[in-house]
Amino acid sequence: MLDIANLQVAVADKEIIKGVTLSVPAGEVHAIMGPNGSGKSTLAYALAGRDGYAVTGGTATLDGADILALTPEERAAKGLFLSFQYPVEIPGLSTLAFLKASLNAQRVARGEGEMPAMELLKLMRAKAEALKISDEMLKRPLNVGFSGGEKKRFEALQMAVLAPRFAILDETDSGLDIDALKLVAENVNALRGPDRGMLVITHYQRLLDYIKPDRVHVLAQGRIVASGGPELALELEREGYDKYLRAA
Amino acid sequence: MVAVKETIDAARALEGERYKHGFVTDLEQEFAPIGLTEETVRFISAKKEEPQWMLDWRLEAFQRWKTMEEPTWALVHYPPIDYQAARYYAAPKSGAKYESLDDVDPEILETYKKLGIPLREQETLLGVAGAPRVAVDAVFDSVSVLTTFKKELAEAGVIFCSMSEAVREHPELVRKYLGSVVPPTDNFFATLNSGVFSDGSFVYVPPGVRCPMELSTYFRMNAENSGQFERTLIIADKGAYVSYLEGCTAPMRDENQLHAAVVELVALEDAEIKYSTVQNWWPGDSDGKGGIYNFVTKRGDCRGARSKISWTQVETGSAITWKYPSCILRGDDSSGEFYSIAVTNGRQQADTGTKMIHLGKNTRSRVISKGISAGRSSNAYRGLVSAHAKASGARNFTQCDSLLIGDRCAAHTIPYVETRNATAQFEHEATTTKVSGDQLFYLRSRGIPEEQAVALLVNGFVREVLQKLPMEFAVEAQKLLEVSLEGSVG
Amino acid sequence: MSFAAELPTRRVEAWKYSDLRAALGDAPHVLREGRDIIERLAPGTQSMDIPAGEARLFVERMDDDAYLDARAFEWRVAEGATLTRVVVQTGAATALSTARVTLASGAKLRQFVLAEGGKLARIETHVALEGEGAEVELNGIYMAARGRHADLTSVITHAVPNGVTRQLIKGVARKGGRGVFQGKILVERGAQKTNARQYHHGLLLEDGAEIYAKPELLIHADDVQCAHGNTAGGLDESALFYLRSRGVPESQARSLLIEAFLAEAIPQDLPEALREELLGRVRAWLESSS
Repeated sequence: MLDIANLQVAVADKEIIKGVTLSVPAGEVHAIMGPNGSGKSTLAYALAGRDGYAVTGGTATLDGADILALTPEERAAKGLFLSFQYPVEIPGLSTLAFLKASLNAQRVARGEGEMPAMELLKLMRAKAEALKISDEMLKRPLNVGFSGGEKKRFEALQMAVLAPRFAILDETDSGLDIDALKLVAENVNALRGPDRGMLVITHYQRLLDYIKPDRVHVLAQGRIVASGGPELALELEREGYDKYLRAA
Repeated sequence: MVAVKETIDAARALEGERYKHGFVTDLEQEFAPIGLTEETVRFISAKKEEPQWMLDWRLEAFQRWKTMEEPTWALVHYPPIDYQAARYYAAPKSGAKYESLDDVDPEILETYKKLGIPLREQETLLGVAGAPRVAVDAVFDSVSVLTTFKKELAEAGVIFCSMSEAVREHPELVRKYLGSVVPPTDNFFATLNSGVFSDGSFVYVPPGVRCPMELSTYFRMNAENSGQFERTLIIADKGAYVSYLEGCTAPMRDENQLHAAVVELVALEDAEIKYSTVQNWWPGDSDGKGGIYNFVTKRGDCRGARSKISWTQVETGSAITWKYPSCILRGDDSSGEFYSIAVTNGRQQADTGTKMIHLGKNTRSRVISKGISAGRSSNAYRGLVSAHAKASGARNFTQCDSLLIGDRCAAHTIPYVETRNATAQFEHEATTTKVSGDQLFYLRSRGIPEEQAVALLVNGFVREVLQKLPMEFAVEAQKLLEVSLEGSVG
Repeated sequence: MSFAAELPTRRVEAWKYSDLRAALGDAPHVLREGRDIIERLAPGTQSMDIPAGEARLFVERMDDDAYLDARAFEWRVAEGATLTRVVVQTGAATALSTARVTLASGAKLRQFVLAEGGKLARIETHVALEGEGAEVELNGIYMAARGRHADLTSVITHAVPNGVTRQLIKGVARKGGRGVFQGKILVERGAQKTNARQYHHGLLLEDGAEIYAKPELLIHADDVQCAHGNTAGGLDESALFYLRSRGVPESQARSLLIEAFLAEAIPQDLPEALREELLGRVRAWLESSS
C-alpha cells in the first residue's frame, strides 16, 4: 500500500530525512516513534507534499503509484490524509464549507461527482455526533478559538468524512486529555479495515495503548534505527531513546 | 566595577532632585557670533582646521538648507524657532583637545564627575578584572574634550575619536561614509546639521574585529543660547561588532536650546552594531518653560548581507523630541531592531519611533515601543515599516504599548505600513492602558508608597526594553524613569 | 488659483497615499464651498436626520464609469437611533465620497463599504460621537485589481464618555492595484471609558500589488481601552497547504481563503439579500480578476 524506499528530505538545504525505507501494507497500522527533532513531522509533511520539504532522493508510492510528483490536492484525491499536529486556524471559513469543498473536490478529481448537499450534511452530522461535535461547532470558523483537544477531534472528523485510503496521524495525542484521547482513538479504530493503512507518528507510547499498531519503527536522526512488534513501544517507554540516539 | 558603580551612584544621587544635571559649569568659552550665515559655516570649519572638501560639503548643505521648510507633520507644537538667534559654536577656551586627563580644565572634569561619567579610566582600570569597561568620548558643547582608552582600542585596530579628528586623520573613511546614510539633503534638521555640525564621535571597526569594550559618548550642552549639532558616524566593516552607548544632559535654562544631531551607522557584511541611548536632556520646567528641542536624525544602513543593527533608546528628557532611529535593510538576510522607552511628563512633547525599510530579501525587523505619558505631556509613536517590491520574505513584528498616568496627558500611535511584496509579512499590535487603580491599591495595601508603586508598575511595563540595554545603562535608566515620573501621581 | 492648485498634493498628510491632483488635475471641475476637498467637488451635500429611536438603512451604489463621481453626505443620528449605511463602489471612474455623521447619545452607526477602487476611489467617513453611549461599527473591504486604486479613510472622534468603536477593514490587491487604509480614532480629553478597537488586514495577492495603511490612535483620556492591529502580507501558506492536503485544488483553495478573509469584515446581521449581494461581488471579483 504505502511504500517508501530510501527517502531523503531536506528543509532549507539541510538534510533531515536521510534514507527512510518503510512499507505499510493495506489493513495494517504502523507506528513511528522517535525523540523530538528526529524528523517525524518532516516525514509526514514530505509525504503530504508541503512546500519547502524537498525530496532529494528515494521514492514513495501509494498502491504502486508515485505520489512524490503530485500536488498536495492530488495526493489527497488519491486517498492520502494527514492529520496535522498543529491544525491551521482559518478565520471566516466555516468547518461545514471547508468539508464540503474538500470532499467534493476529491470526489470530482476521482470522477465520482459531487455529493448532494443533503447527503453530505447527513454524513457530517453522523460523524460529528460520534466525536461529540455539536452543530454549533460545525458552523464556527475552522479551528478558530478551538482548544487543542477540539482541533484534534476536528481532524478525526475530517478523516471520518473523507474516508481516506491511507492516513498519517502526526502527534495526534499532543494536546489531548485522556477522555479526548480515548474518543479520538475510538474513531480512528473504527476506520481500521482491510483496505486501509495508517501511519501513526508519536513521541509517547500512550497513544499506542489505544491505537494498537501492528509494527513499530524507531526514527532517530533521520533514519529508522529499529523495527519490531508492539512490544518495541513498551521497551521505549521503559528505557527511553538513548540507546538509539547513540546507535544513530 | 568602579566606573559602573560611579554611574550607579550618580544615578542614585538623582533621587530627591527633579533634574540633577541642571547646573552650569563656569569656564572661559569661545563662541561663534550669534546667527547663521555662510560666515558661520566658514567660522566653524576654520576653527576645526578642516580641509577644503569638508568646507565645500558644509556650504553645499547650508545653501540647500536655506531653501527648505521646517517639517510640520509631527504631533508637537512650539513657537517658531529663530535660527538667527542661536550660537552655532561654543568651545572651552583652553584648547580643543587634550592628550591626557591632566590637561583637561578641572572645571570640565568636575562637570563630568557630577554627571557620573567614568572619564577616569585609571579608576576604571583598578576595577574588578573582567568587569565591563567603557571607552568614553566626551563632547562639551561643540567640541570633543577627551577620548579615553584610545591606545587599547588602537591595538585592536579600532578607530574611536572625535569627528573633527577623523576629518583630519582619516579623510578617506570620512569621505567614503559621511552622508552615505543620511544624505546632506535628507531633511530640514539633518541638512542644517550638515552645514554646521560641530563635533561628535567617529568609530571604525575593521573586518572581523569584535570591539574589545563598550564605546560611549557623553554629550553635554553647557553654554547659553547655543545649539548642539553633533555628528556621529559608526562603521562596522565585514564581520565586525561594536556596541555604542550615548548619554546626554544639559543645564537648566529658561530658554529653549536646539539639538539637531545626525547619527549614521554602516554595517557591512555580517557586521553588527548595537546603539544605545539614554537621553536626559533638560526637559523644561513643569510649566513648559525652557528645555531642549531634540530634533535628531538617526539612521543605520545594513549595507551588507546578514548584517544587523539594533537601536535601544530610553528617552526621558527634552522639551520636544522629534526622532526616528531607523534601519535600511539593504543586505539580504539583514535585520534591524528598535527597542524604545519614551517617557514624557510635565509639558514634554515627543513624536518618536522608527522606520524599517525592507529592501533586501529575507530581511527581518522587530520593533518594541513603550510610551509612558504623565502630567500634561504628549507622547506619540510614529513608525514606518515598508517592503520594496524585491524584499521577498521580509518580516516585521511591531508591538507598541502606551501607558497613561493621569487624565491630562496624551498618547498617540501612528504606525505606517507600506508594502509592495506579496511574500512580506508585517504585523503590528498596539494597546493603550492606564496605570490600573486596582494594581496600585493592591501594592499600597501591602505598604508600598504610591510613587514607588507606580515605579514598580512602570518598571514592569518597560522591562522587555530595559533588558536590551547594557547593564551599566540599565540601572541608570531605571533610576531615570523613577525621577522622570516623580510628581506624576496624586 | 487654478483648479489643480486647489487639490491636495501628496505632501498633505491626509492625501499621502492618494494622488488626487494626478487623477483630476488636468480636467477642471467646479469647486463649491465645503469642509473638505471631496465636499467641494460634489455637486451638493445631502443632509439627513434619523429621528430618535428609529432605524434606517441606506445603500449607495457608486457604479459610474464616468469621469468623476463625487458625493457628500451629512447625517445626524438622534438619540437611540440607528443608521446602517452600505456603500458599494465598483465603477472605474474617480469616485469620491465624504460623509459626516454625528451620533447623539445611544445612537448607532453601522457602516460597511465595499470598494473595488477606480482610477482613484476614496470613501471618506467622519464620525463624531457627541452623545454618551454611542456606538460605531465601521467595517469595510477593498479589492484592488490592476489599475485600480481604493482608499478607505475614516476619522472617528470620541468627544464624550462611554463611546464604543469597532473597526475592521480588510483588503486585497493584485499586481498593479493599490489599496489604502487611513483610520484615525481621536479620543478627546474627558471621553473616559471609551472602548475602541481598530483592525486593518491587507493581503497582497501578487508581487507588485501595493497596500498602504496608516491607522492612528490619538488618545487624550486615560481611562480608556484602545487597541489596534495592522497586518499586511501574502496569503497564509500553511492554510493553503492545509486545504490542499484535504484535496482542494490550489486555485480553489486560494479563492476560498481570500473569500473567507474578506467575508469576516461583512457584518453578519445585514439583510440576507444584501449580504448575499456583497458576497456575490467578492466571488465575482475573485473570478474576474484572477
